[in-house]
Amino acid sequence: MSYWIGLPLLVLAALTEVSVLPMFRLYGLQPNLVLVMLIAWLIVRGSGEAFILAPIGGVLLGFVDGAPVGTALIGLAPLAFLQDLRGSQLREGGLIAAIAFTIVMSLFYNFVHLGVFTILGEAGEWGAASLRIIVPTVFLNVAILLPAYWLLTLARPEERRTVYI
Amino acid sequence: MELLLTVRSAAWFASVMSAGLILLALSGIGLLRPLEDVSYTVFSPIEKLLRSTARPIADVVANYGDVSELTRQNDSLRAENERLEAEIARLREEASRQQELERLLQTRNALEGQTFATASVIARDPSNLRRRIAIDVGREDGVKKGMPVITQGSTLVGTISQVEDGHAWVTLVTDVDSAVSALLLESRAEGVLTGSYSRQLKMDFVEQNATVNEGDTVLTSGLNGTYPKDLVIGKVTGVSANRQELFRSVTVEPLASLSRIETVLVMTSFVPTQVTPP
Repeated sequence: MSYWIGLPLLVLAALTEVSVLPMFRLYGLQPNLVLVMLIAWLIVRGSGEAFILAPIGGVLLGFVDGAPVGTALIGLAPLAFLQDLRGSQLREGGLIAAIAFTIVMSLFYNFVHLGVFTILGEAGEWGAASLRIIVPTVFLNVAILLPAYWLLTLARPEERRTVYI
Repeated sequence: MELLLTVRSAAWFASVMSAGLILLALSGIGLLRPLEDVSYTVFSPIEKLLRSTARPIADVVANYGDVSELTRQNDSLRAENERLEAEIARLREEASRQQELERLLQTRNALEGQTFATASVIARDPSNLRRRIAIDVGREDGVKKGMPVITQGSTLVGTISQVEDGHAWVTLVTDVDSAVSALLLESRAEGVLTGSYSRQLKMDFVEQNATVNEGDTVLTSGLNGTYPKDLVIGKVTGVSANRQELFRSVTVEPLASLSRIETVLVMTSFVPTQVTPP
């Protein structure tokens, strides 16, 4: 796969996150599709493509999601450190490490949004936001990471063997 | 090799963070507005196509989930029906009901003479931290920040919070940033209705001695000048019973189906005024 597949997929994921996922909300919550897609992409396919796709995804989300442009981009920045993990723990711990990183990334991503909304004066209490919105969203992100991770490993069999060994 | 990776990752992190902060600043001062309008023009048709494609699936999923809910409601309604049959004989109850209907009729009449812009919902804020929808009318259609948005059944949806050339964002009444001066139709008790992260509306500052019952209708009070008077918002679903508190806390369910709403009306004739205390 190359950017010819990655870019359209990313655009589709961003537009799906804005237009389709809100129709399927679970208890009023939806996963951060672009974030999870980028995590799975980086784990399975390496940083070469993901380091280009992530900034594009962040800027694109900024223009379509209603939050100030740049918020999603900042939320995606720690993806950089996944490459280091991928070189060590991910090859040994596989999916568990991927899930752990998704949890950390989801927390960072959503707290960046909460921080920006707080600065704009559009957020409520951080405690309630954390317990009722951010933590359940983390679980949703982990839940959709599993099929995304599986699909991407299928797309590259040699990587799947490496990851599961 | 590992050191090189770390340096590269740190450089990428710093670059993305810097770019994000710069974009955030540019967005804050409005310099990215032309680009936002272009992105709306480009992506809006694709979003509409995706929504219309997914709508039948969403309907099936929603209806499947409704089966158990409908069974429960059916049992509940049967019990309610028995109770109502006993009560229906009472003329006093009948008279009270008629009075309520007359008041609701007055509410509808209050909207006469207002002008509206009809709009379709084109996107929803994907952040779980906010409840906002994007609609396909904007500055070019005379829409301004602060204008109230209602359903075609004249129920309050929210208020315009951000206006672009061809579209606008509406902050729903269920958003944590929303606050509406409200009153109860039956007792005329006043309070402030706010959104919350628990997806329910809370009506605060309702006096302890006010009569509040489940099922009471909540309307806008028109105080503060941010909303017109007598727009229907929702029904009371719960009342706090703690007499030691200064005010009662009332939970309210919005009448409009805000998660599935497709078409709304913007009250373009209503100009919100900010009333400041003397």
